[in-house]
Amino acid sequence: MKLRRIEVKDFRKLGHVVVDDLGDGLNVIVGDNEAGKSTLLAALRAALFERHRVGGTAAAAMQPYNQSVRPEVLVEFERGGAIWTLRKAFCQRQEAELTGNGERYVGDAVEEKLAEMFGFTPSSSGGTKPQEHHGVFGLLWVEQGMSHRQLGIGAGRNHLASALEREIGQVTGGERGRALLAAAEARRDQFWDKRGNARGEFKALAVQLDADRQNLADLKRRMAEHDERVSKLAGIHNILARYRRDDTLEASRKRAAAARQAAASVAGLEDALRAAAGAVEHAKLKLDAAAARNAARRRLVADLAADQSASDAARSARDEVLATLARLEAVAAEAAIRLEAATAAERQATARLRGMEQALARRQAAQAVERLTGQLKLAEQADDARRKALALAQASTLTAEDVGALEKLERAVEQALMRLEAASVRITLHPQGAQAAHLDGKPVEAGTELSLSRDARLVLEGYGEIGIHPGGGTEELAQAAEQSRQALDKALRRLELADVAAARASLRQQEAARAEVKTHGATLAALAPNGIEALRQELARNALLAEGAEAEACEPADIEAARRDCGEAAAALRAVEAEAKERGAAVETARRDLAVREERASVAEARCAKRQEELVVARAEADDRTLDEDCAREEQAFRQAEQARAAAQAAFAGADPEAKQIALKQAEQSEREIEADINRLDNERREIEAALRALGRDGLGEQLAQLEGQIVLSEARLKAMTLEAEAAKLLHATLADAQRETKDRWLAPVRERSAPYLRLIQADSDIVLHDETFEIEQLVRNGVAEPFGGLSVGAREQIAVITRIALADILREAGQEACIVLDDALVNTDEARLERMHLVLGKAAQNQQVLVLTCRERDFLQLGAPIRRM
Amino acid sequence: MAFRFLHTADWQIGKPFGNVPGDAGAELRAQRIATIGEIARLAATRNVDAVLVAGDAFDSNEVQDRTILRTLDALKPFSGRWIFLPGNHDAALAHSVWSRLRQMGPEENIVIADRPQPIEGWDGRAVILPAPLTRRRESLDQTEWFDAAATPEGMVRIGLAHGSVANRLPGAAEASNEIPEDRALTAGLSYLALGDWHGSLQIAQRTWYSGTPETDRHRANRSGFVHIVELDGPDAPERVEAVATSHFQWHQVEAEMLDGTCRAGLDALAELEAEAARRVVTLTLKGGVSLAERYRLETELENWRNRFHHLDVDDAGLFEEPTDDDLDALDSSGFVRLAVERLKAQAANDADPQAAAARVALRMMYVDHMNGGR
Repeated sequence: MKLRRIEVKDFRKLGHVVVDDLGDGLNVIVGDNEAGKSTLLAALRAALFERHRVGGTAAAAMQPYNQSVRPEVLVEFERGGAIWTLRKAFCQRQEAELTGNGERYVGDAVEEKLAEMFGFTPSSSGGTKPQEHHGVFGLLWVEQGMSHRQLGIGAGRNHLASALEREIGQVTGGERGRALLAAAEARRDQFWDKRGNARGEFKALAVQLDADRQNLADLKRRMAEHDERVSKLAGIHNILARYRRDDTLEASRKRAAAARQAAASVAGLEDALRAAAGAVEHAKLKLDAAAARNAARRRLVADLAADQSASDAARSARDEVLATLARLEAVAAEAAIRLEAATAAERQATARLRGMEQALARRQAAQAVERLTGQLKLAEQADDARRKALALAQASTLTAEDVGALEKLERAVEQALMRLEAASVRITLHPQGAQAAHLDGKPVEAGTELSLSRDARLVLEGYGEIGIHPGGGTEELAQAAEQSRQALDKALRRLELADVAAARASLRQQEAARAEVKTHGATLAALAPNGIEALRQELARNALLAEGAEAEACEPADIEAARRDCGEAAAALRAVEAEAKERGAAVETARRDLAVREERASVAEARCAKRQEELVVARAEADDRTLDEDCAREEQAFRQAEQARAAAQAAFAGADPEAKQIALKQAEQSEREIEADINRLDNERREIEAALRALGRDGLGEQLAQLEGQIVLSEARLKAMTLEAEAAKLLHATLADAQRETKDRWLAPVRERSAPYLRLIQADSDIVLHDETFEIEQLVRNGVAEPFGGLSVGAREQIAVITRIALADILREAGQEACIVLDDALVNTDEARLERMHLVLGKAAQNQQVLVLTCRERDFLQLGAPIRRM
Repeated sequence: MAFRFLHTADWQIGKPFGNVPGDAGAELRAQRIATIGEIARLAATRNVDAVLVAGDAFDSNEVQDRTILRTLDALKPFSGRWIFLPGNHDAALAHSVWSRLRQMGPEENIVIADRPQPIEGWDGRAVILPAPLTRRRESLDQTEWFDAAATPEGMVRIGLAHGSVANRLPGAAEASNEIPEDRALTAGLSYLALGDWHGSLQIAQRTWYSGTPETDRHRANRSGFVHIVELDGPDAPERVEAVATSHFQWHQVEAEMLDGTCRAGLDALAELEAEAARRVVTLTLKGGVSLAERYRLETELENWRNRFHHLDVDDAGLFEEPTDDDLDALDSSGFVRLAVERLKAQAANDADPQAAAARVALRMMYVDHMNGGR
């Protein structure tokens, strides 16, 4: 269908509007807001889809506000090459007329014809709703403000579906298919979790089976243990029965008794052997005793003989020593005489030497007394003189400094006097006569120069008095001179000197005395270096030595000779003394030796006597022959005992005691072992029986068989359930795959048709529609799927417009051509996109009539389409 | 006076029936003791001289104490002598169910024939010659001593043994515990009472298996009987009456479905409808059915499961063959159809490892479809 002309009268706000000359492709109808573009679309819808006799709100909505008129719509359209004219009047004097293709319809027939022509469902009563009643026009005619919403395919779905079917030849599984898919999914989820692992009953069964198998293994093990015990018990029963049958214990007891008896007879032989051995020992002891006694006697006789010879030897040794002593004593006496003579000679030589030495000493002392006396006298003189000079030097304390000070004061006095004199008035009186003159009451000699340094009164006889007043500070000079003098006087007084000259003399005197002290000191030191007192004592000592009788004069040479004689005598004496001492010692040694020999001789004699006595006593008891006989007898007895023992030994050895012992031990051990074995087996039997009884209560065999049956059952169930689980998985997968593939094929035409338009605004993108509702589900951009609702409003309206165009293409190709009406459909699109969308619209208009209703004329000027203004 | 006794064997008390889960298994276990009570009452009613149990009274030597005690309780209605022969399941080992039973202090009328010694009594009318097994497998013939066993002239000699009779039993696998087929003759026995084979059977002259009194497995061997035997004298022919004692009936049913429907299988079950609660059934299904039939079969089987004491279905040989109707029912178009086609192809391809899963998947889809996709 292509619209050619629309005329509206009294429809809502539109008074009378005519839009004509609508072309094949793009048509733009411009009107300001409120100019009635949307009303124009509503009038178009009313003409095509509302019954002309419609009443109620639908009719009321056609009336202008607050008016009651007769809204009328006239539409001319071309369909299948024929031009049709449709006219409908509503509300009052409702009318409907459709003419074209040589046909004419009036009234309700018009409605039926329209429904047939455009394949929509006329509303039975009341107004219509685009999505329910307008067929494909509900899809293709987009009202203002609705463009970004879902397509709202509604009743257009069937047209679309049949259009698609025409291409694909197949439809989807429908409601039932989805229900089957949901059921398959639910069934699969019973068996498998999201990761594809078994779950729920399926998993529990496998787990249970595993647990049962483990349990079975455990039971089997316990059963094996049980069986082992039973067979062990059987073994024990067998052994015990054999013991009982063979009467093994009694037999072994008998064997042990016989062995014990045999062992007892061996023990008797052993006792006899032990007794024989004891007898041998006894005989041996007795023999030993007799032999010992005999030996003791022999030893005693031998000892006595030895003692006698020892006594004789001791005695001859003593006699020999006695002779030696006598000889030594004679030699010693001779030496004593020689010693006496040598002693006297030495004493004499010594006395002579001492006399000569004393005489010489006295003479030397007398000479020393003479010398020392003179020396002492001189020393005493020097000492005296030194003392005097020292006293003199020490009497004055005046020093050279004192003298210097005095001289200095003296010079000061002199200088003051000289200065005074220079300043004084010198007056020399030369009286003509002898008139006397008195100065300050003292007569002045004529011709004498008076030197006046202070006011003076000179009375000249005959003249009178002259007052003299020296000027220019004489007074001070005189005073200074006076002070100097007084200082000098004071110093002199302090030093108790008359004047300076005296001081100088006194100083000189003092220096002379000091020199003298030094001189005399040196003299004294030379004479009596150790002091005078030492000198005096030396003198006294020498005086003492010199006292005594006058000694004969002798010479040092004599003394020397006498000293030599004396030395020789002493040496001779020493030689004799040594000899005498040696001899004496030899005598002493011989004497001591003699004492020892004598002691030894007496001891040997005593011992000999005692031994003799002993032998006598012993022989009195038993003589030597008796002892010999005893010894022989005991030896005979010993030999006999030995023989008896050898016989007993042979008897014992012949009885094979070791074999008998081993046999006994074995028999006893065997008895013990058998008894223990029986007891042990019996205990073990009881223990095993008790354990088996305990096990029996559990019914191991029943449990085992029960579990085996259960496992067989579980295995079968698991096998069946595994098959079911696999089947559930397969069913779901197969259904889901089939659905996806079908859907892909089903909607492929929509994708194909929309692709060229989409490319114009968005490269590499794809629109995904719901296979049933045909609503837009997703936009896939660069492989990323976005839900339609998540796109921006602008993007949504662009995608929706493109989809509508694509669907319109499909419908048109299916023979259901219908124009597209877009009422301000791209208001949310930005300028850049709008330009692209113009390309889309231009492309769509190549095959399709497109009516664009807009209030934005400027936006559509570039479209190159005829523009009509309302 | 004739000697009358009850011959039974293979009670297998304590058999666990582990492959029958839940209460059904527990009831099978309990019934084995209950049936012994029935035997005791029968023995008392028929006033027999003795009850001869020819081995395997117990399933194992390691049953629980309570199993032994409850068995002893079940014996009480008959106060005559019970002669128990240890068999291969309850061999008289050093420690066995018999040594345990002895320690529990059983009644005096309980005789454990665990020694090869003649058992006398009954006023000298009869002597029992037992051949007890003292291990699970005896390689030597334990009945050999019967031949030489001396008994007073005119006394009825009855042999009691457990094992397989050489060359006689159908499919007898065990070569151990063999009994010569002519033992009754060589030993001059009036009757040789045997155990081990679970069906009631005369195997040789004067040689009988009584079988188990309570059937315990699927095997067409006439199990579930005891013998009441009467012997008028050593040479008189034996009079044997087999009395049915089994509470549960065991059935093994095979059905092959050749017409694409499950009718054959369901008809086979319908034949067992009478006393269904006493039946233990194994159903083996073969053939191919449509998905619709398979769905119906499942519903019906569920019904039978509840009615039988136990129903075990082996459907490994049953294949779903989706028909066009099945597929149309699922969906005639759309992706479901595609999925069905694929599964069908997979199921038909035996080389595909997922073939079995694909078959089950088809059945599942059909079930889901029938359940409205819920």
